[in-house]
Amino acid sequence: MHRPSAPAATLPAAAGIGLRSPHHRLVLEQPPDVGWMEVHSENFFGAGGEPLQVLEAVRARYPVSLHGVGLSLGSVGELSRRHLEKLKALVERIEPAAISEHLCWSSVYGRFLNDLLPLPYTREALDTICEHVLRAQDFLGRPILVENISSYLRFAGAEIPEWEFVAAVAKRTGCGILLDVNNIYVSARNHGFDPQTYLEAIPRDQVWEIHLAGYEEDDGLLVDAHSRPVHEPVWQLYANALARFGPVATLIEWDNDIPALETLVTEADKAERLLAATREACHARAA
Amino acid sequence: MLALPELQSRFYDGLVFGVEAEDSLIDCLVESGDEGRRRIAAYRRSVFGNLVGALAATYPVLTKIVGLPFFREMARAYVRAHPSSSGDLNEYGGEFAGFIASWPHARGLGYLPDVARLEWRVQKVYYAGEAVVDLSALAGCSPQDYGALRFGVAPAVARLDSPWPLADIWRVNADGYAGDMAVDFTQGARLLVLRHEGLVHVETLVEGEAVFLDALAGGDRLEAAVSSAVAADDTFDLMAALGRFVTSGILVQAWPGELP
Repeated sequence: MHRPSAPAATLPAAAGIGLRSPHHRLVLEQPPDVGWMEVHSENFFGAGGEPLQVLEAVRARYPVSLHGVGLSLGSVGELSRRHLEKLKALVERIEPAAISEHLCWSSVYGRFLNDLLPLPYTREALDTICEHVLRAQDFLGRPILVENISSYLRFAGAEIPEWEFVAAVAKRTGCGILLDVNNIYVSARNHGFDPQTYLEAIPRDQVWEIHLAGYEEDDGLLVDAHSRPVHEPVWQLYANALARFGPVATLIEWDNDIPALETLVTEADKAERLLAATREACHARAA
Repeated sequence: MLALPELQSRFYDGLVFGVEAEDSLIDCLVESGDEGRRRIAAYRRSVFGNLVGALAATYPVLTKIVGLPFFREMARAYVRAHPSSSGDLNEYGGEFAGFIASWPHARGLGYLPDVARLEWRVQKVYYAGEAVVDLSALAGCSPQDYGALRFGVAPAVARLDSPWPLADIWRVNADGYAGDMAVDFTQGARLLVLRHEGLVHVETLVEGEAVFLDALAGGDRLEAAVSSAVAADDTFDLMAALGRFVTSGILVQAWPGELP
């Protein structure tokens, strides 16, 4: 089986924003000064129409990352051939700088919950998801990135901690890690672990992208709502992540209660300043 | 620890169905009792939020007509009865019209299923492929051969006939409409759903136009389509209908004689 060792194309080590439909027109009329843009792959699975036209126009200006939410890498059985084919057609059309999915499951026996659901961190789940990451990479002919999710519950009988599970998937499949720093913080708070322990378990060279987003508090749990500015403790954890992984392409994710485009750009600017400081620190170390 | 698919099945059932299914899921969690329930509830809110939200996005006019609380109840019942079968949420909701027709609480609103049928077509047309336009066979065709012509319909086109005044229901519920809300419920509608510069439009057809277009879409030759249209509607005007469907990008291909 094809086991890629390096990404075929890479995102710039700059801050990017998620492209969401309320901003489609504005982004083309007044292109914001951001390094790249990310979209949810499935929103462009249609055969034609306005969404694809917008994405092609955006792609003409920016590197684009295709971020999937529906492949369900953690389900038992074959990956959906139809889903893979639609993704591949989109990849060929858009030539993205990155293709990512989640370390989660969303369907069982063909019934989909269309959500990012937690896996039990067992050897069986690890085998399942690694097989599917390899299958996806083989089908697409290039490495993908997999993202750690937020979780609100844990299954009894876990055999390894989540951070070891994430690292093992990258090691066994050669895929990149899309490290969602907000998700680490959310899960750390919900389950009572130290987020720094998580960061330190992640291999340095496999983190090819970082996500930042705003959580919400709901009935005593933190939930990954993507509806707010990035919270202060998440910025702090992000700074720690940059210190460990160096400057890495960073996305501001915002999917609900979508604000004005300039609010997204302001958040991206904040990430860009931290990235610039990291670059300087790296140069100083090298000199 | 259960095998992965059994655990995932319990998770599905525990979220979507009632208390008993939830109890057998709680047995699999680190947190037990009420704490486990609270954590499952967070996922239930998220899952139903996604699926119901997807339906509301696909069916905005339906949502507007019945109001969000009623729509949510209807959509939650649909989620329990019709599992999503794709990782692409834009594909969810294709059986909503049929479900609404059988849902007891919506029985007094007989036009709702047809509103849903229209909105599903609007969604399909929005994402449909681009047309490949080739009408060169028209120019090269001598008049005595016109009758044998066949036509291809653009992918981003859909038809719907309804005994309800769907076009008016659609119009008065459009975003930004501020006029008279009165609709004559004795009038049916023959609708054409089409896309122009990325945006979907709903137009009405007279009977002859509808029969004509359906016949061509079904692969009939021009002469057969005209005969059907005239038989159904003696006011049918071929040149007006052909002109309308060609200029609005509905009929996009023409072939002499047999289909290629």
